Amino acid sequence: MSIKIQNISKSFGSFKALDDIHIHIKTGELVALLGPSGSGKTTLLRIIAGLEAADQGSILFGNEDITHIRTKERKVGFVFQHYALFRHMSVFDNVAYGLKVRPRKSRPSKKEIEERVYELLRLVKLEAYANRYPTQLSGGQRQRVALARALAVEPKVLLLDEPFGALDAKVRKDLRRWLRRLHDNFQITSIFVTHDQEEALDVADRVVIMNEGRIEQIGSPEEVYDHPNSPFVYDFLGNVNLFRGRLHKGKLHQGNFQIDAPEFSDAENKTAIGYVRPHDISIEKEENSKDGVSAVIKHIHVVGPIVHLELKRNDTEEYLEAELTKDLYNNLQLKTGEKVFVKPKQLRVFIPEDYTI
Amino acid sequence: MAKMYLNRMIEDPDRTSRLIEIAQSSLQPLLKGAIYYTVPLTLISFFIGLVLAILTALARISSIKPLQLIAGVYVSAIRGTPLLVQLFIIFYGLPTIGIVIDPLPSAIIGFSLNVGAYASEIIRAAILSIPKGQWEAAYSIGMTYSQALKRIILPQASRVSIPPLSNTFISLVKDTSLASLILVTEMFRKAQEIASTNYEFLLLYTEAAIIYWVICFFLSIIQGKIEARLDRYVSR
Repeated sequence: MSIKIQNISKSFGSFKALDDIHIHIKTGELVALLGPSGSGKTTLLRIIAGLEAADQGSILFGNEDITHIRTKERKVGFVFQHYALFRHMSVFDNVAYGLKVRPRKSRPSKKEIEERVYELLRLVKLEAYANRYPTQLSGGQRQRVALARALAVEPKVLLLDEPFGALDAKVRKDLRRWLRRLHDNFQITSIFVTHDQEEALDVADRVVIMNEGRIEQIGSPEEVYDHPNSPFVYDFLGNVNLFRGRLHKGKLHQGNFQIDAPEFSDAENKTAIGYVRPHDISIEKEENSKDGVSAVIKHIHVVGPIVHLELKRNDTEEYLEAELTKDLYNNLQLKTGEKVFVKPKQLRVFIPEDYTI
Repeated sequence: MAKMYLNRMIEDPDRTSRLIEIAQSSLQPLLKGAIYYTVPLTLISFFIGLVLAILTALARISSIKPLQLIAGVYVSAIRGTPLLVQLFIIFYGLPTIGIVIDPLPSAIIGFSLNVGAYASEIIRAAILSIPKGQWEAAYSIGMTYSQALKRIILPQASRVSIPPLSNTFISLVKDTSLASLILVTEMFRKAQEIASTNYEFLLLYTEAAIIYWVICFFLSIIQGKIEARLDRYVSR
């Protein structure tokens, strides 16, 4: 089932939660809505589910306009951030209830319901817990029950609101891999909301990055990470160093840096900001080229195979973050307090007039 | 006074045995009053009142303005006037405009309306205490409003509302004594009738009080059992 979201807007009082949102989601796609809190991502998901009404715009499932159809008729599976399991029911009943309450003529027989529930519980690896109650389960298990419950009604669309937000890092990672596999097996059009960029990039086919009720960028994880189209996206997807300087005839001047920015060859003395990811900063011990700038290593910390460096530039006294592999770090034999030469390997320049950060 | 009463009992063995005899012989009519009137009056009024309370609570929560208004006025009027006055209006007042209701039905109407108003606030609070996500989860798996209410919300709300509803129930047991004033021959009226023949007011009213206490004592044991049952799988 494809989903078309057309010019959806929503305000809460004077606060504009969503402003003219358009997204087209293909059948079987797994899409992440990514953004900081207050960006409108959850509101959009709730509007798709029918739990919230849009002020304007329309939503189509396939060719059917479902804007004014109630939640119960939309055939969506919804997984809530805090699970919202029925606390007074066993795991089995939680999963079975969506089928049990169907009108008699579309309700499966008792035996069919039982088979279906156990099939789903096997899928979420909880068949041994059928008779437990939600409070007797861990967070990860509860979330899997919530998923099984959502899938039991054979939804055409699966919506997940920060599904792993309340879980610890290890469980979260396991579950998102598992969700990816589940999605690959079921091929059900799915949208999940997250504020965790790593999660979005790791799981989704496409990522929709939202900010202040608007869409900043839509693209594959690779596209949005490698080619952010705005400073916001740059900043939101991972760490970034800002080089505030002047742009003149295709070069960004900042401190002792003169960095090529060929796309701005006709710029005349403009204020601009260069964005550089920490892993795009090269570090050398000798001054090999004249565009390197000297800096002092202030702090080194090693996280697994990645080494994070905190550096202070000698020209502008600004701090920089750099990342390098452990191999390179070992080769260079870097020490705290040492003087090195840094330069950006790759940078993207934005002129602040065009964007507000 | 109290000392005199006791002294007289000790000094006069005949009087003591007379009191014991009265206590014994009055026990049967009092228990009859309790079993035939007090208990059924309480149970029936509480049941009708509870249905009324759920409807009133839903009306007050609903987004339909006229329903909210009607429910609001009902709760305000019942809570704002004395129960005894309400009973008198129903039993002694309504005949004036041609509506004559027997004592027992009058009492049931009065008590039900009362329970309905007080318990509706308890049920309203209990329903509102259930997270909105439970409604949404119910809708998202295809339930209708009434299915969600019956199968998801009320079962959970009942757990929250048992202690305050028990309060209402126990109050009702004792309030039924007011029915004596509209000629219902429940336990307290029986006590009055017997006492008016032998003038042993202290004895008979104390005896009635003890029976009320015993009934309420058992009710609170039942309350505990129900709470434990509903609490089985729910940690706080």
